[in-house]
Amino acid sequence: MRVANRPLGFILAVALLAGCVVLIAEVIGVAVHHSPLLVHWSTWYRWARKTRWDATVIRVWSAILIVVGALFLALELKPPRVTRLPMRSGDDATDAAVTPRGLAGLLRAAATGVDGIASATVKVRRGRAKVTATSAARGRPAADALTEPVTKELRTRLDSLELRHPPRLRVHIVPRGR
Amino acid sequence: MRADRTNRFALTLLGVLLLLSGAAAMAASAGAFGAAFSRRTLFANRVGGYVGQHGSWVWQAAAGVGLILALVVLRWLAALLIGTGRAGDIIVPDGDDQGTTILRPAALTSALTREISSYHGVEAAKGRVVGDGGNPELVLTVTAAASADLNALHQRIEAEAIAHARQALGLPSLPVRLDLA
Repeated sequence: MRVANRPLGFILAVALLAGCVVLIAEVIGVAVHHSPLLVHWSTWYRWARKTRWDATVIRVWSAILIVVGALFLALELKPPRVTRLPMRSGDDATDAAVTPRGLAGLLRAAATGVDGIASATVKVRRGRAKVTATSAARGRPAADALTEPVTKELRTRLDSLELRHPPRLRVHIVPRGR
Repeated sequence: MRADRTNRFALTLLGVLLLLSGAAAMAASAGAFGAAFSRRTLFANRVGGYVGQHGSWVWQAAAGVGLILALVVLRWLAALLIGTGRAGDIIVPDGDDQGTTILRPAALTSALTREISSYHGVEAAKGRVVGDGGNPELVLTVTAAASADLNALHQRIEAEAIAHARQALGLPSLPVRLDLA
């Protein structure tokens, strides 16, 4: 769920409701010869009757509509952030998944569990998990030597989860700073 | 009405309508429909002429559509403001006609989260029942310790806690959504 959708949806719903109420009230107002009732639509009507399509105000409002419409579409059609990575389950009625935070914690614990790794940071994004581990020893050769065992351990832990679509694993070992 | 889906649909539709109407107006303004058209006033076209001639019934029809739309929007607003998606009391199917057993969702989730919290490697567990009482769906969120074996935890929750819930409700295929955090 997109966080902005709820307030935007509320604003749109209220605006639509207000528009419908105004429309119904004005149609009733015309029928009983008491129009305009709520909004001075006759002013807009006179403006539209004398404004030409090639007027600057039409171009400005057209551009605004295009930009706002494109923004709404971009917001709604953008793929949502990954909130769960589905796991294989023995039962079709159970939809089990691990959250990106849960996976990051698991990979971080696996990386720091390898002898020679002091700390690790994990970023889980759509389709990939990036692990940056810091070696306890200084120097590039010491860090490079840890790449294989850390990758192997992370791969084993990732495989044990039995994810339906496991993320691509990227492991980077950096030597401890001074 | 699922408020989140409705929000997304309505906002996408709004985006499409704004984009298309803006593009059409810009095209008309730039002379894409003919230089003569771009010099006309906004209402000097077939639609404007038709509405002008048949205004009485067209506006009444528009008010009728507006009334229907207002009712739909009221339902949408109700789903936005008061809809939680949580299920009401769950009716447990009985094998005979001796009566009806009703289970409160909180009783089920409380028992389940207590059971799951007692498992090794679990830091916290939350649960809720969504859908309606006759067709419930269980949603569980389990926060595991960093050192926990998530796959083993998943297997245990499915084999024990979820199996117990399905047995208690008499629903062997109770849909369950389990998130391990």
